[in-house]
Amino acid sequence: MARVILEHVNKIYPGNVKAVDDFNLEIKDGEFVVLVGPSGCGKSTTLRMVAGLEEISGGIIKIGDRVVNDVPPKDRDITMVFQNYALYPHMTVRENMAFGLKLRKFPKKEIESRVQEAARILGIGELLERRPKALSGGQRQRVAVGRAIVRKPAVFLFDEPLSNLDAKMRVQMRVEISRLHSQLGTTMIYVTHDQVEAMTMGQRIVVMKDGLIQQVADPISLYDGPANRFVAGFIGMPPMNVFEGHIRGGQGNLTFEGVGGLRLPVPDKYKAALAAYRDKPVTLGLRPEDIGSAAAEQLAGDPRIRAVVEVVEPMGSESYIYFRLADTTFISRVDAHRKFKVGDTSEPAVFIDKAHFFDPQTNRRID
Amino acid sequence: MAGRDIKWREIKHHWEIYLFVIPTLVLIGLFLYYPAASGVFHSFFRWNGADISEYVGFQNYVSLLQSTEFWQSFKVAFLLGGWNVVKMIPALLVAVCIHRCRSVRMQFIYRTLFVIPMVIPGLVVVLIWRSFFFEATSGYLNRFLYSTGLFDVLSHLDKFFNWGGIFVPGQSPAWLGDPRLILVACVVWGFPWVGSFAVLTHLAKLQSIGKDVYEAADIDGVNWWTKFIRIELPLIMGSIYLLLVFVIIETIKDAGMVMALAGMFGGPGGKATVPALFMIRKAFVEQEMGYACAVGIILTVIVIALQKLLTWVMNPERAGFRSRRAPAAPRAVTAAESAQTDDRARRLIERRSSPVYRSLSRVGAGVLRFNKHLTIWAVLAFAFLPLYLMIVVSFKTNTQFYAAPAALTAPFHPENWAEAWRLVMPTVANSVFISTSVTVLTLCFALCAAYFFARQKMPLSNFFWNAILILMMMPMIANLVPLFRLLRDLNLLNTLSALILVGAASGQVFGVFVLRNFVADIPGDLYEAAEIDGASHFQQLKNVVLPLSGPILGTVGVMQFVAAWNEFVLPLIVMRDHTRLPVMVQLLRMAGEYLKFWGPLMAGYALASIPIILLFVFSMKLFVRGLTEGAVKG
Repeated sequence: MARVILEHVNKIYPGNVKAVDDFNLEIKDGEFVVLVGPSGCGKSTTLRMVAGLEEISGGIIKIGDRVVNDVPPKDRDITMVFQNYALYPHMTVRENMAFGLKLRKFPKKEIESRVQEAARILGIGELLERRPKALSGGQRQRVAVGRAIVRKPAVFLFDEPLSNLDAKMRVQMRVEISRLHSQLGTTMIYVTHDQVEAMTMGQRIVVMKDGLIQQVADPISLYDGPANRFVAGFIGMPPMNVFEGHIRGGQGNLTFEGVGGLRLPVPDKYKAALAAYRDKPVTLGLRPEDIGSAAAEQLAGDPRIRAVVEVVEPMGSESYIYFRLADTTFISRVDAHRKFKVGDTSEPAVFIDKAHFFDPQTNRRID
Repeated sequence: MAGRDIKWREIKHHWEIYLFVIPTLVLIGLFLYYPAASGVFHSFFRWNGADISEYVGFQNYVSLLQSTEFWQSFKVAFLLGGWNVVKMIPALLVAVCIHRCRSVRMQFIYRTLFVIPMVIPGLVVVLIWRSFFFEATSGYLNRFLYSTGLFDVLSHLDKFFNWGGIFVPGQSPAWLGDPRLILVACVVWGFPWVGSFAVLTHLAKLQSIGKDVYEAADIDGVNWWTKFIRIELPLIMGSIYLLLVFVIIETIKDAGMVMALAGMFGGPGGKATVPALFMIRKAFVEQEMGYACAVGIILTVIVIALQKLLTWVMNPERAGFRSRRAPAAPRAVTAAESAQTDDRARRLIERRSSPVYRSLSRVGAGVLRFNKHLTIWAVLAFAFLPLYLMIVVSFKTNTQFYAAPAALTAPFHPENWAEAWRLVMPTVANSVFISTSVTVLTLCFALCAAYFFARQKMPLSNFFWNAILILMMMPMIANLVPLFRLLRDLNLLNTLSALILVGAASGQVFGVFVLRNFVADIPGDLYEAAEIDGASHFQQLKNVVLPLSGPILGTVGVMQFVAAWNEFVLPLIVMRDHTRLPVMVQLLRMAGEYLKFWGPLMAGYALASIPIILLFVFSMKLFVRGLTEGAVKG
């Protein structure tokens, strides 16, 4: 077990394409860190640099207290679980798991006991003599994880390991990997493009875009205080609603005014920061559950948005209501039993204390 | 590509991977590049390969370019090349017919049946044609012409077009003895010209058309011809282009088949002399090796230029090609026009739903379906003819043979086979040894080199790769003369090692090319997983690549084995000692003897063909899989 430190790590591809730009992160021993972002954001490249599969263009990577920049992957004391499982198709499950140990000249007894233990943890004991072809996606993924476990590495690396599974299997494996982490307590770095995986599994989440770190935080802080518009839109499903507008009014009663007659009071906690934006454009962000939800409606006197219902999407426990306001749409997430009719004008309440404000120029959060 | 760029400064972590490519580089360097360089050098000398060696500058080239015989040989080669393109059509036709067969079992049966006669070594087929079909007095070609009355037509044509009395009533045309007919014979032999490789390639491509495409076409009301033109042909166009280039180039640089059919001197009047044959004759008969080297150089230059030209001309991506096909600029459709079109469509549907039309079209479709099988069986009958003759005649005495060559006549003489066994067996053993060694060496070295090229991009790997690609275009036969000289200097003349090493060297080119594609198609994360598991390059090759490459190794291996088995030009020149001859040269020797015993001769041909037929039949499943999976991908 070990901590992993990345200092000013760069990856520059031929043609001066910066895949990863000045990446700084200290991952504590035993921590579960998730790198998340859209495809091409540099998250996989970062992981592969930690693994040693990708050359580091600049900076330092330490695993434990050792600089590993020039250490080949096999000597880094890491293992990796790949998106396509990367199981050797011609070997049985047992051989797949034992292969790394065999190459490291472990005694046969030790190999057998480790394979058995991993199989027990993952519940694949009865599959040991099968070939990968005869396994389902979830089973293959379990074998891939098993192959990583038997090595007892200092760091586990996961490269989008659940993307090839169906939705149901993905949820199940998510839980299993989380359980595995609490069981083994090993440092894990997990790459995904799925914000749900990131939120549910990570102790800390690193949101990346265009090779740059956008924000590093635990899931709740990330959700409640996105550092910029990108993080705000990326984390949360359905994504945060954004409204363009201006800050108007005098000291003490600042309001946000947008298209379609939208007028919302600025909550007290933002007043100081937003005073500087008077008569200037700002972006308002509201999460779907903060518009028209039971919590918002209960707070009487809260401001409301007057808009036309365009689409109703019942999800079972709740419904997503798509509203049209002038030329913009926004989504509200409400209790499934509340009735909305397409074409009607409605006035959902807004939980304005939970609003987020962003500077349209820099896209940064205004605090 | 699984590979990633490795820079010079990282080389210390990866230097071992160069070990993988060294055997290949040594082989091609020594047996392909050195002779080529030496050929260029010697083309400036008056050189007889031994004591005379005198610098003459460009004199060889000058006299070569002024020689009518030399240009004549290219004319012959281009003529044959053109005809060989025409001869590609039956294979395409057969492939489409087999593909259209509804039942999978029939498809399988037809495919197998086609492969069997087509894998008879080319030399054996040529020899059979030489003795049974082109023979003047009782050859089947003449008998066919007489019995169908075509001969009379031809003799009228002869008079009309003034061909100069080739076909005169009462006088059998001597196909191989008449200088005016020898080229025709070179074109006609091997009818119905259905090469197994071409059929299998076309079939593999056709099989990738999904059933749903045909269903959609049926719903759209597409007829069988349009299906062929619009669906099947465009899809196999890629492989047709490839085969076309391949066929033309092969013909231009070929010497073997013409040599077997018409002899070392290109038949009567040397009319069938092709460039390679011209070169061999200059070198080994007239002892003008320097001159022959110059012929080789020019042959190389022309082949490479032709290849560039053909790929350029036939590149479907080329703008000119596309604009010719592009429809005229769209024009607004008026309401009247569209009403007219609707009307026409309605009338068409009405017509099609009339009972007369329906029954007619059903009959038509039935005839077509019947024709499909009929076509296949007709072609099959012709294709099996040489095999049939070979087997039937092998049980006859000469008396029986002259009385009725094609009929089964009792008593059978199985002792012919014993006699043939005695004559052919030692050379068959030689051939088995040579071909097996060539195949094993080729596969070992080529797989290692393929790993080198596919796995990572190392410094210099592009350079080495281009070195191999260039060899793909270079006609090996053009280097025959300096290669002969090299083998003599290495003391390898008249040894089996010479044939094995040269075979393995020339096998590298194709082998590395195909296997590299395959190795590169293995998902990159398998290698990465192995790397993280701690596998060295050798362990990755052994534990990841090798277990996965069974089918492709089988395919390349079979092709290498067959190529080595059928090769006879090099051994003919290199080998002296008749106990060390490969079987093909032995067959050629037997066919050249004045007094022929047909029974044992045919049994010998059969013995020389059987190993290859067996190999193909048993490996065909693998072969087809290899073709569909990787080999034709490029």
